[in-house]
Amino acid sequence: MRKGIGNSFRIQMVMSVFGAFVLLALSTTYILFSTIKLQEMIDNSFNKERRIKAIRESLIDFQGPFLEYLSTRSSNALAQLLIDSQKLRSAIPARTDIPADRIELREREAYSLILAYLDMVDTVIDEKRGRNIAGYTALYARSTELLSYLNTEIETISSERFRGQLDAYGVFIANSRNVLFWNLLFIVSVSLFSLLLVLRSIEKMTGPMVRLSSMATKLSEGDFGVDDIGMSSVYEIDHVVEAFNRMKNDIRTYIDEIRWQENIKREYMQERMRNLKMEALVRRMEIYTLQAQMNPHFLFNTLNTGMQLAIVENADRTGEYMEYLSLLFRHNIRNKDTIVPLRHEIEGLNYFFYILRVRFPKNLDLILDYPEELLDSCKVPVSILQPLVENCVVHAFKNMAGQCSIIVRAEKRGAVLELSVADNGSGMPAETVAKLLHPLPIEESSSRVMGLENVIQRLYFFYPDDPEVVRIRTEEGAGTTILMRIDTGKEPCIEY
Amino acid sequence: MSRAALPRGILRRVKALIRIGIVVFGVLALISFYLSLTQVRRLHVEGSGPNAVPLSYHFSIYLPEERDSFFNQVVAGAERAAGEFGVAISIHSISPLKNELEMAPYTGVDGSVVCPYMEDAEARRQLSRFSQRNIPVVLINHNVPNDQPWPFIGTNNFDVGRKMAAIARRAAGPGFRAAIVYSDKSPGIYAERELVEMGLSSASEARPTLPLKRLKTSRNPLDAEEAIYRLLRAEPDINVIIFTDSNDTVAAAQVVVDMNLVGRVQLVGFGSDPGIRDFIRKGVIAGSIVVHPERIGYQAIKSLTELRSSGYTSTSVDTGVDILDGGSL
Repeated sequence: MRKGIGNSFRIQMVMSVFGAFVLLALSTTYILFSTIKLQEMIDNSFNKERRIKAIRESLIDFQGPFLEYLSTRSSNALAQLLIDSQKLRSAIPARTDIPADRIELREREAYSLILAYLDMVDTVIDEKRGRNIAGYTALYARSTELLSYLNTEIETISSERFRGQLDAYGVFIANSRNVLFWNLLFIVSVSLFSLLLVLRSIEKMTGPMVRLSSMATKLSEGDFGVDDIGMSSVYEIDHVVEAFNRMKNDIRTYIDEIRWQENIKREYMQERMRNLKMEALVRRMEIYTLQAQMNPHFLFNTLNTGMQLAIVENADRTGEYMEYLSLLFRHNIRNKDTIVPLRHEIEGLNYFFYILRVRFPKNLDLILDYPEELLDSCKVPVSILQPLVENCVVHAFKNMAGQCSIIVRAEKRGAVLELSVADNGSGMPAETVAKLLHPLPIEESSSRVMGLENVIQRLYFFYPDDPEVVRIRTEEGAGTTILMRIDTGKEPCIEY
Repeated sequence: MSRAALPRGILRRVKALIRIGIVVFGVLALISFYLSLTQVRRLHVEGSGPNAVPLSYHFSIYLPEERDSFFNQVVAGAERAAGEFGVAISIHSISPLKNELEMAPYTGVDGSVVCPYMEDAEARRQLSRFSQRNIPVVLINHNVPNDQPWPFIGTNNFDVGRKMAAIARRAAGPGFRAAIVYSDKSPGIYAERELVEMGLSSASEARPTLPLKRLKTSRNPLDAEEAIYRLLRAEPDINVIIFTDSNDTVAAAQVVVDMNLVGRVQLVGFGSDPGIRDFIRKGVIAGSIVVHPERIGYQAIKSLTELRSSGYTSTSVDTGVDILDGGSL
């Protein structure tokens, strides 16, 4: 809001107080005006009476110089007479409108009678000057008769007017009471109106402050989601409100930013933890591999010796067995990649199967089912099939008398490569399955990791976003199937 | 509910109340201000305002001091005319004791209506003084003969006599013996009694067999009762009594009833008061003469207005005489 004269806090305060004052002053002025007007009306009703009374008294006073002049012909008396006559004539109101009121009509007639009397007096003076004694004596008698009648008429007018005023006064008082009642209602209403206007102005000016206080309380409670305070029409308050709203919004922005940074940090820490775990696993894997490599070097030499011995002694089957064993070890040792083509895994498994068939020629069926086109098109984490088959051989067929079978199958459903290792062994307890699928944190797990557990953990690390990457279906006495679902459309997470 | 919610709710209600209060008291203040101002203005206008319709002339009416219904109706007619023609009227007494007619020429009026119940010579003197000051005069109810006659408004008393005779003849037959009761209450008729009697005579097929008996009552409304008693006792052969005042008519009718002379003595009344109408219905009064005083008052003001505005008016206006009897009721 732009600062202007009208929206300044001080100006608004002054205006509201001054406005209320002006309203009260104006209404009081009106009350005073109406009261004065009523008084004037009462006074006016007596004005006419006062005027006619004054004229009557002047007429009586007029008789003195009139008689004196007629008696003495005094020039002073004549001068006084003329002056008084002129005064009387000027005191008589001009004959303009004809009134309808009966008393005023009589009053009008009385003024005409006075003028006639004054004219008569002038004629008497003229007759006196002309020394027409009989004339002025007769006229004087007539003027006296007229004056007497005038006095009676004025008396009558006064008494009739008084009677009329008595009636009118009652009506006037009743009407005046009405005026006073409306005036009282008016001043009370205006006072309350002004008071409420001032209250509204105060509320308008202090409302944003109250809302500011409420908002400050909420902010202190940590609630930065409250709405902005609306603007008032007061510049100074709007300035504070605007600053407060800006401060609140800035704080909220900072807090959001801090939260975002915290999230990033947490995610970073989680990622780091994962990487640490990965490193640990890889390290363990390496240790495991090294441990595994210890024997193969010794076994290579031994196997070569045995193979040479078998050739020398013409034991071809033994030689072939030795060769496959050697191929298997070489296969395991040679490849250092983390992700390998499916073909690599299948090759190693073929070597391993040959050895197992030699070991268990009668009671172990090994089936490897895969479409040829998948071998080069799909890549999988290294060493995920052989440990599972090994796990079956070691754990699944304990205390089992019948025919054992292990079926390794690879197939593709859409973009998902499904690898399964199924046995018809004794199955796996549910607790073991739960432990395998929800392994302990790396720092809590033992350094010795079983082959199956290692495969599962690696799959989880390589595919952290897919909790269904490995599933175990097992039933007591009905065997176990470990199903791995690898989304070939997604790159495995191998960076750490 | 949070700590701030309750005060905010109350604040909202207080704000709404303040707004309602501002509107209510604002409207109330305006209404009371308007009513007060209107009342003060009305009082001011009533107290000092000019007439709603400006009045053109001021006329005075000079009537007898004691006003009976006749003169009250004359005044009513004059007031009606005053309202109609936009003139003001003031009512004065013709009584010589009050001297009002004597001073009338000095009152500055634009014209006067005079009912001259006085000697003709005195009336002529007084009326001449009006003429000297160029104040037009209209006479009512009683004409004053003069070389230059003043306009006269009233009934033709000759006609009144004729109508009286017509009622009497119809009630008592052509050979009735009549008495006529004049009254100070009807000075106009008394002043022109010759005309009335001439009318009576002219309307009779033959002149009354005996000379007409004349009585006169004072202003006392009960005066007629005693006069009629005496008349009927003293003149038992009178079979028609003619009245010239409504009060006398009613008083005499009661006497005739009291003396059990209803039917034998026929009464010719004057006026149309309810009492008279009642007696006519009962057959006590044969008929009544009705003049129109309200019409006289109206016509007098109308004539004066014409005189002031054009300088001319009818010299004589007969306001008419009607007969009120059983047939016309």
